[in-house]
Amino acid sequence: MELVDRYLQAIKFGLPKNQKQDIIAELSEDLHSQIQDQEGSLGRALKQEEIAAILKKFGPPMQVALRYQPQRYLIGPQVFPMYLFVLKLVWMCFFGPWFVIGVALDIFVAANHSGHYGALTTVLDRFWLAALINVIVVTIVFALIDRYQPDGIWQNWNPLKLPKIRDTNRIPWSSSISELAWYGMISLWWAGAFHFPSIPGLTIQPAPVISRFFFWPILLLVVGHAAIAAVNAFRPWWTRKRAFLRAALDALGLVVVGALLTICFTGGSFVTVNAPQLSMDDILATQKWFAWGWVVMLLLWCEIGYFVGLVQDARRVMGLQPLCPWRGAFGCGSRSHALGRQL
Amino acid sequence: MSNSNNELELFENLRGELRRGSLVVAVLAQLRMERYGYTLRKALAEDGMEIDEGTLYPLLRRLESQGLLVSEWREEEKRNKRFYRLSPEGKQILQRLVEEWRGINESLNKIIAKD
Repeated sequence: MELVDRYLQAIKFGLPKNQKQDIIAELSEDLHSQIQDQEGSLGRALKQEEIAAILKKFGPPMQVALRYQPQRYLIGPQVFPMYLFVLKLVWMCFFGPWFVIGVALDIFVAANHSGHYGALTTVLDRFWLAALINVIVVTIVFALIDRYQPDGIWQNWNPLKLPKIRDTNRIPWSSSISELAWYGMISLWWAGAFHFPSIPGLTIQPAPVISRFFFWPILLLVVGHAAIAAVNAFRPWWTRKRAFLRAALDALGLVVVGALLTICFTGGSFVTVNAPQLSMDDILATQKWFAWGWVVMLLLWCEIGYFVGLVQDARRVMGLQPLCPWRGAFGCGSRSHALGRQL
Repeated sequence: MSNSNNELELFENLRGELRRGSLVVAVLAQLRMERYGYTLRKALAEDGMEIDEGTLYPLLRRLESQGLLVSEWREEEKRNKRFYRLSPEGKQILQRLVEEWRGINESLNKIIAKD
């Protein structure tokens, strides 16, 4: 019976502390009853292999022991969908742009100083550390919410206060107006209709390469967006034709921004700084600072924005619903008839 | 091959869910008469309700902690055994569960018969 004792010892390891002896005594009794029964029917003592077969049927020791443990989890099923939603949000709105900008900036710095790979490794190291800390923080917050959620938190809800069905093909008026104001202002400034106030003794002008090759494409880009935003303000539904026009502008934007980034990464500058009282080092530092600002802005606002816009508008052109990353959490985007109704 | 494996696994999961609730009724009903674990398992198996040890003993503990069963250690045939039986509260709950079970059974039979 040494084998049975070894088996029970292995089970004992995983049992709740205050019930160990009691449970082991009961399981021991069951096993001995089984062995006694078989020995009675065979008319002889069981061999080691036959006892082993009984134990095998009983189950792996840890699995047997775990069934006596209370069911435990860090984040319960009620809170889990919201936890996943927040994790997705953190990844999409924070880590995605942060990673792209981090890589771009580090490569930019490395291109002007040391090797690329060292800089990339540094940014990846920082990325994983930041990602790990964020996941841990979000998990701890939701574990606390799950543990200390007030009674009735899930019962006190009013169906009448549920948000309206979100229609991804409807264009909010506020969005059209803000786009119109933004692109309108940039168009006028780019066309030279007005100038930003200048600092005495400091003149910042677009570099010759920008004036020569990028003036018309950028003007077309910003005027085109302003025109679409103006139409959207009065006809707030996406149509295939308008979606196609904006997709074309998004594609142009990707190309223009890509070309500007190439200039930036190869050490070129977007601006010419004229300041008689500054030394050459200060002027170069100002140009570099300006280029860094452009890198962040271009990447964040343009490259990512144009790429996402292109994907969404291309889907609209194909008659598909724009992507809705939070669908899993709130089930939005279930109306697929909106664009079809318009066409 | 993979499809039939998935189907088998799905069936086993659903079968497990179906049996889980009825096991409680079966165990409570068998314990109207005092039994210890091994004889309870044999009695259930003889009536066509096989249950493995890993499921039965934790279930007995849960039902006891919920006040539906009472147990005591006693020596029988020179070995210490833990005997279980229904508590007064367990008897009432069993009666209600049996009524519920009959209702579900009747409804299901009607629904299945329509096919």
